[in-house]
Amino acid sequence: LARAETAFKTRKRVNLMHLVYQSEENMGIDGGEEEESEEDVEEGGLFRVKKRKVQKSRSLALVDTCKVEVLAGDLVEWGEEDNLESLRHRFITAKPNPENGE
Amino acid sequence: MAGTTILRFEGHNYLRQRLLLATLSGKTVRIDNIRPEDEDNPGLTDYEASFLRLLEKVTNGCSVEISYTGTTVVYRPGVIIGGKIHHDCPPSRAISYFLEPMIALAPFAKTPMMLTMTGVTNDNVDVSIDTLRTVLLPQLKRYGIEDSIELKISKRGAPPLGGGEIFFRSPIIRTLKPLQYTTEGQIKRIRGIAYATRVSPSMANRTVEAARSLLTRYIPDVYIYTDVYKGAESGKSPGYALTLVAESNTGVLLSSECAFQPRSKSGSAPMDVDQDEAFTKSNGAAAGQGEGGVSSMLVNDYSFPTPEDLGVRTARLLLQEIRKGGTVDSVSQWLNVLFLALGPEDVGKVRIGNLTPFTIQYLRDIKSFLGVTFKIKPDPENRTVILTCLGTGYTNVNKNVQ
Repeated sequence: LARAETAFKTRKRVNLMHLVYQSEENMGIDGGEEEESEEDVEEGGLFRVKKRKVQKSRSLALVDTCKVEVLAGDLVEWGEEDNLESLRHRFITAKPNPENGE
Repeated sequence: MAGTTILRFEGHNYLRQRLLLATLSGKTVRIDNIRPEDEDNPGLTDYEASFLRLLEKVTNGCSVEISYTGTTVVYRPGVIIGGKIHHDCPPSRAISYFLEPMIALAPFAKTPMMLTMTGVTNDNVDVSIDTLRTVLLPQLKRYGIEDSIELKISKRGAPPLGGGEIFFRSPIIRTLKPLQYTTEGQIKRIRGIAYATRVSPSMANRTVEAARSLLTRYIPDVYIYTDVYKGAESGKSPGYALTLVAESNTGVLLSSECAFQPRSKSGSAPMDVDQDEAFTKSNGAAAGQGEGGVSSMLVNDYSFPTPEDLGVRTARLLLQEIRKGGTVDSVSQWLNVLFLALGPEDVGKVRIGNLTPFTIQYLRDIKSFLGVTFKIKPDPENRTVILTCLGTGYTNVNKNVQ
């Protein structure tokens, strides 16, 4: 089991390093801009009219900011008691007062 | 500094970090294809041009060449001088957009930087001034930048018109201290700031109450200040926002924030020619009546029906951030990564929750400018990531030796 775990770890590490340093082209961050097909239309021979790319996706990843937007839908889970409880161990008060209803 | 090599990049994104890294490393950079497809407003936006002007102010002897169409920039950095600087930020981006790189630059200046900036203090696109003050600046201490560092918010400025004012002062240092920081600890207290300007002060209070009631179930030590601005200090537009910071017993700071943003289109009317109006144009249908500029890139709706909703949203965002874990939160990853790379020739280490797309590109750009490759190792124990690197031993050559 221990061997499997280390194998898993190393594999995952390679993946992350690879993701950051090797696969520059196919990262999700640039995804939004490449969606539209871009075609050159012949017009009168000399000039080419480039079809305008329509930017469809909206994302802060396309803006120069370090903030990452968490979708409102992803926060709904925090309305559930189980999820709220699952975080309790991260607080210094983890043991002393287990019952503390809202 | 007469670099013969020119680093080339493409695209408008990540412009700030490339210019910042160019300035720190003294390398000339050429960026092509800045919005070439944009028929209405190709090239640099007003805020990008403004950022270039700010760089000209804090350095000496830099040169900026912008092509006629604005789609190409060649930037040859100068010496970072610092000193007393005033900068008016365009309302299309928050002050933080301009201040963030300055925080990283200022310690390496020739004289301590004293920077006054005006503009928008809180919005949903950029990190708020409160987060910079309460989360980012305290982290500088770990790198040995501590005395006389100051960030004062003298006036609030909500979007779209802004009108806020801040003062930032940074000491200068010769070298950074190494950092190995991987112990997360447990959260011992939660602090926060709710500000309100040109709206009823009860908006801030109600926001605080909602956030508090969600967070006190974990820990009694939750204190959220309310900061109500009046008169001349209240900026030009109404607004309110909440910033929350959780602190662990090992000094980890995790933050979340949210600002109120009206949905109406009347907001953008007084703004004169907005450079990236094109964003709005292409997204217009989807964004409804989105206001101009980068805020139309936001997916969520920030026009909360009640201040309680904003409070709950921010508190939940904080829980999300706490669950991610790490010793460095998402919005300060870039600074830690940068300072580790600039640190002494020693092993530097931090633990982060997960890599944001912004940080991933930062790591790549750090590699191109500084030649530092990070070791990125996931820790399956609590699903965090450990970043390790060998610093470059960057020294502030501008600082006089006493």
